Amino acid sequence: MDIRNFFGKAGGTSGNKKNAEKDVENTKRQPKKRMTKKRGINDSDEETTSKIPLPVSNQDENQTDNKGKSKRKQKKIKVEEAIKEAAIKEEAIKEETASKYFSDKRITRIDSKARKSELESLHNDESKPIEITKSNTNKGFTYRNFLQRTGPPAPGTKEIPIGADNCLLGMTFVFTGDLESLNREESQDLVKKYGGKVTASPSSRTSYVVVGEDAGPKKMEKVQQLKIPTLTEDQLLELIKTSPGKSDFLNKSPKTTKSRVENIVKDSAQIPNSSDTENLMSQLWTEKYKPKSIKEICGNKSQVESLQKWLNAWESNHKTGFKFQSNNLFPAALISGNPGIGKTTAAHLIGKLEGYDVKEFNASDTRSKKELDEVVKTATQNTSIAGFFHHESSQGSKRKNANKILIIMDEADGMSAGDRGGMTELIKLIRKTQVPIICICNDRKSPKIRSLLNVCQEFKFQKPRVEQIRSRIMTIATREKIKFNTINVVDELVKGANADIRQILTLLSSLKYSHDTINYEDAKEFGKASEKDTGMNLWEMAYMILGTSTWNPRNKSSLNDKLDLYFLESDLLPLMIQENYLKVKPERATGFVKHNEGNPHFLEQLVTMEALSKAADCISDGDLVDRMIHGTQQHWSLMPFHGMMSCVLPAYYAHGNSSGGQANQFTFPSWLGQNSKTGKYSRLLKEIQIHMRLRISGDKNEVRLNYLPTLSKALSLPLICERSEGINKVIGLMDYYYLTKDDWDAIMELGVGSNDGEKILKEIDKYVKTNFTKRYNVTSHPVSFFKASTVNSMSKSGSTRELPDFDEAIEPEEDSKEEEVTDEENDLSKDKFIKTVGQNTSSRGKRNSSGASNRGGRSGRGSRGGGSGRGSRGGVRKSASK
Amino acid sequence: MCLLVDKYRPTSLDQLTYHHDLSHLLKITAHSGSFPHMLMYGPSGAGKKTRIFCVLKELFGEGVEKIKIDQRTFVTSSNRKLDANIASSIYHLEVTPSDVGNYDRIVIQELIKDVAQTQQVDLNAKQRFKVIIINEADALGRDAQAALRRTMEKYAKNIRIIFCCNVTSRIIAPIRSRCLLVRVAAPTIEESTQVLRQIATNEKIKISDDVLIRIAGKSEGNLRNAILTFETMIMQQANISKTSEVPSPDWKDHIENIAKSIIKTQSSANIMEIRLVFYELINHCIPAPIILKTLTFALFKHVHDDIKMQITAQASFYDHRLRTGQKVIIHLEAFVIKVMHLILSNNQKS
Repeated sequence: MDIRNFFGKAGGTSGNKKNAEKDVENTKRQPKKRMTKKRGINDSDEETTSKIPLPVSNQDENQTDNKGKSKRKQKKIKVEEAIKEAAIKEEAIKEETASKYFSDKRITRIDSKARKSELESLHNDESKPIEITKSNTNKGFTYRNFLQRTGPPAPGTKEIPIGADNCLLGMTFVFTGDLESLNREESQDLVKKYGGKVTASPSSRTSYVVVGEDAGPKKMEKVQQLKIPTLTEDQLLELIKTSPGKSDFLNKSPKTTKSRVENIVKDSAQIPNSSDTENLMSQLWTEKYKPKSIKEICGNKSQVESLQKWLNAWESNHKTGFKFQSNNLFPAALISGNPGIGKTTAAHLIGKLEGYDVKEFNASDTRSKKELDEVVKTATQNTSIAGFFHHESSQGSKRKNANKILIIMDEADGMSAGDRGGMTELIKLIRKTQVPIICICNDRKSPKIRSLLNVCQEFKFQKPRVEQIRSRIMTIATREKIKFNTINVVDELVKGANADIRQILTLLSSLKYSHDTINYEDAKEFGKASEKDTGMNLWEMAYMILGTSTWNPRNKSSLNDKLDLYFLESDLLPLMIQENYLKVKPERATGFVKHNEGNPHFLEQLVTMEALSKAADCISDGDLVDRMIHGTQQHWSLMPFHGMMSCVLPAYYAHGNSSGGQANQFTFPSWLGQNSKTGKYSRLLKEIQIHMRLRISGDKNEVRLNYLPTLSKALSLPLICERSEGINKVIGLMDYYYLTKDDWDAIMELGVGSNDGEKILKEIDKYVKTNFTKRYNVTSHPVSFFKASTVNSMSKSGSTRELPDFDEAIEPEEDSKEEEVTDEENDLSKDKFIKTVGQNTSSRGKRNSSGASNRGGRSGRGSRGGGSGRGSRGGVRKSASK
Repeated sequence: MCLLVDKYRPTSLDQLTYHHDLSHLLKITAHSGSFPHMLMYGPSGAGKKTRIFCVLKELFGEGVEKIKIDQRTFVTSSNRKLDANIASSIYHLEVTPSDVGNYDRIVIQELIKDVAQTQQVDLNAKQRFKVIIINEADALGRDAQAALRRTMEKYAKNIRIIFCCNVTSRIIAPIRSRCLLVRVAAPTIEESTQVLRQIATNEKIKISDDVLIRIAGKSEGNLRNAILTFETMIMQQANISKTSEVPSPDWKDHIENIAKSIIKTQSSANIMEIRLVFYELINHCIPAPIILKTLTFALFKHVHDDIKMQITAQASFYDHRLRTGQKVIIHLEAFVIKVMHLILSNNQKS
């Protein structure tokens, strides 16, 4: 296995750099390369092929004929340039596909898709601004091609200039098509880094459209309509290099940012500055910059307002008992939403503004039924001291009497086992409450909360949008003297934290000590680090790793990213891969088309099998590693290696689009089910062998491999051929080998193929079968031994007796048994839990003593009842002996 | 009514029909008064157990035929309960420690020490020691074997151990050096045929020597298999002519089918089909190494000579993996894909 090659591919673009450079050089040396190329054939051969005229012009004419001849002038492109570009493209494609893999073999292939896209790209000459023709935009842009995109043809070849800060401030960019050396994400990051704005589709406000190869047709149409200036990659880099920096974006920002800035200035004025500065230094930023008025709450304006309305109207509603109002009025409110978006803050703030004394219970308080009762009672019947002293002095607030109390049940979904009855008590409380109650939770769909929904008015807090947070973050930053490199930093922070304001503030406060200015990369990094592990299920993971997109060089997921998938589900993912790697069509085997040499379908088959074989070998290696981990040696440090061998490498070889194309085609690992089946059958086989043990000398495997084929015939043929007359014969044979009826069934089940149990059972007449069972059950049969469990439980019960009295052992059984039964009944009638089981036990005792059955104690059912029964027997005996 | 294989099992050394030298040796050893520890090895169906039993009878007399089976429960240090079945007479004790898998050491330690520390109380017994037969000794773990080492010497006065296994390579050297190694080779085709003929005469069945030779040949030296196949034949067909087909066991047929389908189509869909058949075989307690072996030989019937070598190499490679790995299906599947690839690339060349 060519590890180096593998890492080259898995490492994304960087690994391909060398090869790509070489390719570029190659293309310089021999500019006239054909797009079809034979591997392993020398250069002279290629030149001969390149003399074949290209079908380009033909096709173009056809196209333009359809679209209108007026455009014909526009496509004056030198054929040579077109060929050159096609060669570059071809090299790149070759690079990505199986060429390396088969470089030593004389396999020829034509990439038809590549050819198509080459024809299209003939128009896109990079050396001059792009002229767009209609024919170009319409030609063969399909989703399939889009999926097959291979990434930048020459990654990392261009030096990225370092521009002045914010040199792109105020400009809006749109990207379309493939750039030469940067992929989409990189290029967008570049623009954002310098303060530019990136939008998805062009509009009148777009300053530039950056165009690469295979530009989207829709976008280009619009660009033409709106007459937006276009840039190539080189021009973009040039722009960055030359544009003057705008160091202070607050002052010199053009229109679009001006409004934001005004907002910021306004906001910063709102924040009370010096009222309680003395302890500001020691405070957390989240406390320090807590909203002090409703206006300061970021986002969820309507929810906050309606919450306030609800609280405001609460008193009047309470007087009418909430009954006469419209049905969506409840005595309690439930706020739900993601963490860090200001739910608690809003609740507290509103409570304060409406003149309530807020009493908060959160997960740190005990919230059992009793506690809740207690607290609420004291809360409703007492006057809070704070309100008592303050009720005249408070300025501006609507405090009318000091008796108003608001209960906030924070983290309501955190009511756990410790708070037994808490939720029901809370609901009861809400139904007859004298005070308003606000409950706060994260997940309104959790089952705990569901019952609460019936009695609460709901306020769903949404994640605030970036615009809503941006200004506030900027204000705080200015106040704390943190500088941002560009305004995009804030956006990136907000995105990274998933709009969690609290998290952003925490982050900023810690960044403040190490950084004076925060630039775009820092923010991006933070976003990646705090990216929450999104819940992926097993199927999604399998698709991710076996699908083509992860292995596409365009995708920047590194080797470690792929390995991380394994660590998300290290037990099941290897099994999942093993189950499903055959269900995708290996990508490296696609793309063979008919050629003069050999059969393409055969080649495809061969390459598929080779890829699958490599994948299977890796899985096999992985299994050996698995043994090292889970076996006696317990080398857990091999986990990453196991992940590589069992997930990443097989997927590297076998990845491809699933042959059926449907998403839910992958199946759950069948190994688990099959394994338990194996366990079951081997138990059955063991039982058979033990029973036969007295007559035969073979071990388990010998019994299965040699005895069973003959036995299953010997035990079934008489029933089939001689019908009822054969029954005695079969039972005789079973008795000789000490086989039970269960063993008979097991022997039938254990057959495969021609001895398949179901087939044989079908051949036996139903009447004969029931007769056989009946006959077997009425006659008595020899038994080779008793199960240990039976023996064991008997000896155990012996040890529980208070006095082991050996004389008693020979006492006639019947007497004691009668006593035992009656005694048990008396005893058990007192205890309702063991009644039925106990009776069972007594009958079992009888059966055991008769010794006819060897499976009496098998299940060990009703051990509790049995225990007490035996205990009582001991008691009776003791009294009898005295 | 019982199967012929058990009906005609020899019960004394004199009754054995082949390996006469070995029988003689065993007889002398049994009477010598210094009976050693013994390690019997050879392919299954060659008559190891039968010989062990004959030796026991020679040592102790009729008493060894009264066998009882019981199940003893052992408790591991982690409080797991293990059931082991023990067949015993008053003179000997037979156990298969590998039944309990990884915990075989506990069975060895508890059981054997238990027996070894008690002396024979029957004064009329011919020998002062008891014999412990350990079945499937090659499946014993390293720990269990190590646990035996010292016990064998220390309690030699009270016990003799007879190991019974297929190959000696998995028995550690210290144990091997403490035992008398006795190889029981598989009977030749002639010897097997002779046994079959004897049975046929006793049962008054008319059957031509040709068929018997074919049965013996097909059983590949496994006499048990030969006799059972013989019985299946007479059970299924009233008149056996010279041309009647010798039946092969169900699982063998199944594996041959796999081989045929490998030769016929090489595609991932077919691999998935084969995977299901593999699962069925494994489920139904066919040991994976046997599946692999049978499959390899079945493939030989169909493939070109050129790739037979390669297939053999691959088969032994994956056989090793079956034993060192955990999930057998993975390795069997890898083998099948490898073979498919070999066939395809061979086609390409030709």
